[in-house]
Formats: sequence, C-alpha cells, structure tokens
Amino acid sequence: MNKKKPLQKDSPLVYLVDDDDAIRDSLSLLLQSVGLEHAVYSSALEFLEAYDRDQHSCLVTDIRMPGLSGLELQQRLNEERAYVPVIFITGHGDVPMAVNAMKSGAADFIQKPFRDQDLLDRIHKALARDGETRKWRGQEKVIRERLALLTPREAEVMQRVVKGQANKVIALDLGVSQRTVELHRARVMHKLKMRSLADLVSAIGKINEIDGARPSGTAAAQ
Amino acid sequence: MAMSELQALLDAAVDAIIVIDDRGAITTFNAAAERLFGYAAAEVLDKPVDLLMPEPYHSEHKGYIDRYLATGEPRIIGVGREVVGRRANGETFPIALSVGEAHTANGRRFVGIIRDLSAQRATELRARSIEGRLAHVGRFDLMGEMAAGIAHEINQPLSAIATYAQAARRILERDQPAMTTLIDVCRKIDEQALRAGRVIENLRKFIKKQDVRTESLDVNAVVKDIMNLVDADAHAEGIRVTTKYANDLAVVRGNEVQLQQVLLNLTRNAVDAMRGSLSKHLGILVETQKGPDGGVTITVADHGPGVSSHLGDAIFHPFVTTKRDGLGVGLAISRTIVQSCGGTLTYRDNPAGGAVFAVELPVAKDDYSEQEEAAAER
Repeated sequence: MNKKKPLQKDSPLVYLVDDDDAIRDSLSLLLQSVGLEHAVYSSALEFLEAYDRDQHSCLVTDIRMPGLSGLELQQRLNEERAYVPVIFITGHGDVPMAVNAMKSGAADFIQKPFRDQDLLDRIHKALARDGETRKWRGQEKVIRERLALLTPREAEVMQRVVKGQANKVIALDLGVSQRTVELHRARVMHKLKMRSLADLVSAIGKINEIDGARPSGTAAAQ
Repeated sequence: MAMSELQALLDAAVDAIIVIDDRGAITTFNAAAERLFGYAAAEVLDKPVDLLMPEPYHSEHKGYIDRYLATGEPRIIGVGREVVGRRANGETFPIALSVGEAHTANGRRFVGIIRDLSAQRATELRARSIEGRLAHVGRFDLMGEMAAGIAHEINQPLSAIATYAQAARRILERDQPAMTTLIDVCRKIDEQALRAGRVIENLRKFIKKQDVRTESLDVNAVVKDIMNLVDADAHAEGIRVTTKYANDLAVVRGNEVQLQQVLLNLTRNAVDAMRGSLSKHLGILVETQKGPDGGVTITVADHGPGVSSHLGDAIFHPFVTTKRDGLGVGLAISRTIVQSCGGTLTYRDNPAGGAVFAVELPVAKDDYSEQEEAAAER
C-alpha cells in the first residue's frame, strides 16, 4: 500500500498518518481511486522519519494518536521550519483542539465521518497552497540575491516607493532632486528585474513581512 | 426427669427439635417445630421424617439413614448443614440443620435441631440487591465519564465504512471497475460494521441491569472481554493499554460484569491520571498474575502523578474525588464488589512513577473439585 516508487519532487504527494488500520486503509483506497499519489504511516514518528521537506506535498493526519498526537506533530514540523500544509482529521468534540491547530500554523480540519469530496477538495487546496509556497520560496531566494546588489541609497528609495510615497515627497525627504529619485528607481527596477511597480510592491511586501515576523537570528515567533 | 418436664423444656426451646428413630419415624416434635412446619405434633408422630422435606431429599432420606446404619460413616451427623424444609402447606424454606445421635433404652435416636433461615436469607438478598443497584448506578456513572471515548470508538469504524463506500463508488464509476478490489472492500466494510457492533454490544451488556449472582470466573477471559471498552476510553486520550495474561490461573468466584466494572473503574482512573502527563507514552499496563494463596491478582499500573500519601485510604471512600466529572463513587463501589467476593482492593505507588491498583481474589473453594471434574470429562 505504501508506494515507494521514485517520485518527482515537484509532483504532488499526500502524506497520510493515522494509527487506525481501517481508517488508513480506506483513505488510501480513496486517494488511489482518484489517482492521488500518497504514502501512509501508522504513527507521527514513522512519518517524520520518511518526510522529505523538498517534496511537494500536504499532510493528512489524525489528531488523536498514541505517542505523538497530530498537534504535537504539527508543532514538531513548525520547529523544524518544515511548513507543510496540514489537514487534521478530527473526531466529534475535537473542535477546540482543531481551532488551536489552525492558530498555530497553516492547517485545515475535517470532522469524521466526512464526505469524500470535502476531503479531496481540502487536499487539492492544500497542495495548491504548498505549490505556491514552493514557487515563492524559489523567487524569494533570487530576489534576496538581487537585493544585495542595491546601494544603501537605492534600498532606501525602494522602501519608500513600496510604502507608496510619491517621487516628489521622497526627493524632499532625502534632500535630492526628483530626477535623482527617478534614476534610483529605474536602477532598482533594473537590478531586481521587476517589470512593474505592482510586482515590486508585492515581492518586497512579502519579504518585509517575513523579515518583520522573524528578525534574523531568532527562532520562529509563536 | 419426668416426661412432662422434658416435654416442657423441649417446647421452651426457640429452635425446632425433632427426634427420629432408626427407621426415620418421628418420635418427638417440639412446639417450635409445630410452628415452623405448620403440623401439630400429633399429626406427624410415628410418620416418616421425609414428610418435612421437599424433593430430592424426600425420596432419598430413607437411603441416607440406611447407608449410615450400614457403613457407620456420618455425612450430616455431628456437622451442621444448610438444607431445605417443607411446611405443611407445601411451601419450602431454607433451614440450618444439625443432627446428633443418641443411644437410648428404646434404641438409636437421631436428634435434629432446626433453625429457620428465611429471614436471614431475605436480609442477605436485600443487601445484595442494594449493592447490586448501587453497582448499577456506578456503571452508568462510569459510562457517562467514558461517553467521549465510546463515541470515538464507534465513530472510527463508521468513518472507515463511509470512506470505503465512497471509494468503491468512485471505482465503480470507472469503465473497467476492478472487481477483486470491490469484493475486498465489501469484506472490509462488513468487518468494520461488526467492529462498531461489538462496541455497542459490550456497552449494552455492561449497562444492562444484571442479577448479582456469583459464578465461577476465568479472570483472563473476563479481562479480555472488557478490554474493548478500556481501549475506547484510553485511545480517545492517545494512551496505549498493554495487557499481560498469566497462564494456568485459578478459577475465582464473583460476578462477571461487576468484576469488569472494577477493572474499568481502575483503568478509567488511570486514563484520567495520565491525561496531560509527560509520561503519557509509557501507557497503562493491565496484568493478571497468580496471587498469594493460589488466588488471582489483577493489577492496573499507570504513569500518572500517583495518589498523594495524605489521601491514603480515603480514596476508597465514597464522594472523595479529584475529578471534575463523576460522582467519586467508583473506587468505593469497586472495593465493595471485590470484598463481596472475599478479595481485597489496594493501592501502592508505582516504582516507575504513578499508581498501581491491585485486585486480589481468593481461589474459588470448589475450584479443585471442578478442575478434577473437568479433567475427568476430558
């Protein structure tokens, strides 16, 4: 059942963790019936051993399990900065637990017993989110390399542009001519290979968000 | 002593006194005997004493006397025994009978002294029925505490069934459905439905009002039978329950459901104690062992915080509880149940941290003969 054939890292894989043999087996059959690649594990630890963070994937896990619970598993993944989207399968009365799970990271939950389509929709959504995250991670690396090429003055101008300040205001604040600001701006666009102001605002906005949430040298904040 | 004086003394006795000769004919029947059996002395004198006995004693009594006279081996003489008597109106009732033998100028005589046990039995029965009802209330209380776990344990197979069925539908919608897979899925659905049914059946059996009769019990079988509900409770908290069964355990006497109730109470407490414990992964161990004096010991060991020593034996008192839910009668009822089987329920600290509760049950008195009989039948 546990397919270990070599898989393209960028083709989607569903990790499935549940300690109940029947639940695991039936979910595996369901994923198989719609042709979703998946790998199944009977415990969180077993999964952690096999988990490949470079694999495009999402995780479907039971919330109540002996040993490491689903929530503890999510915590462990967060600590290791492995941001895989998680879908928790919960029983009746686990809703408060699930709410906590959603607060502490990218997570969705579905209550047993569920309609197959509901679960499949959530899986597709989670895989799409993971795909976007992975795509952005690649972009982020490139943009950071390009940001290193900016002079301090160019970086200063860029941050003000992203904040929405007009050239006139920036020139006045920095005590330079409007023409100079325009030149800095053009060089920023060129060095970062940005095609439009919208692209720049979106990309730098995301990077600022990451840097603001996680000051360098400290672990992920709660 | 004058005959009339003797008769007056006999009639003053509180217990019934009946004398018979070696043919079983009644020679003396005192006033207490008249009251007890509802016959006037004149009606029964010289009549066979088996008149006062229901079957099978009625037909067999003559044989008892003949055998004694022939062999000289006493069965009841010199010893007391609980038997059944029959009144003039046909009603039967429990009696304590002791028989002595006398040699008189008129020949051999057997003296029977009889006490009515009806009232005592009624009191015992009432006490047992009150205990039984209390135990029943305790089981409801216990099930209330376990509701979440049981719901979870029924929801698991239901959820699997739903997913199997949905997957099967998707497979059927293909052009070339894989028949072998579908047959396999049907079998699995069937299995899961039975799994849910077993939980409900156990629950129903456990909650049902039971009679309080004691029977000979195979402790391992009794424990195995209740593990399904124990697992339901523990699994909901992500706690593993391990079992260890000793072989060749003695047969004990007790009430099956009540003994299971004791066990479930202990594991329930263990689950509560382990919730949020850092040693949760160590789980709970339920073990059967040979006990002292050939009896059986069942232990439930957890790795929770244990019971603080200042509470001591008070944990076995009713309404002493550290929990939010439940009445706090679990351990009190459990101890009453175990004691009514002649056993003990005790607490000790787990050397590995946590609590150990031990149920010690004495070997059933007729265990030896039963085993012999079973062996002979084989």
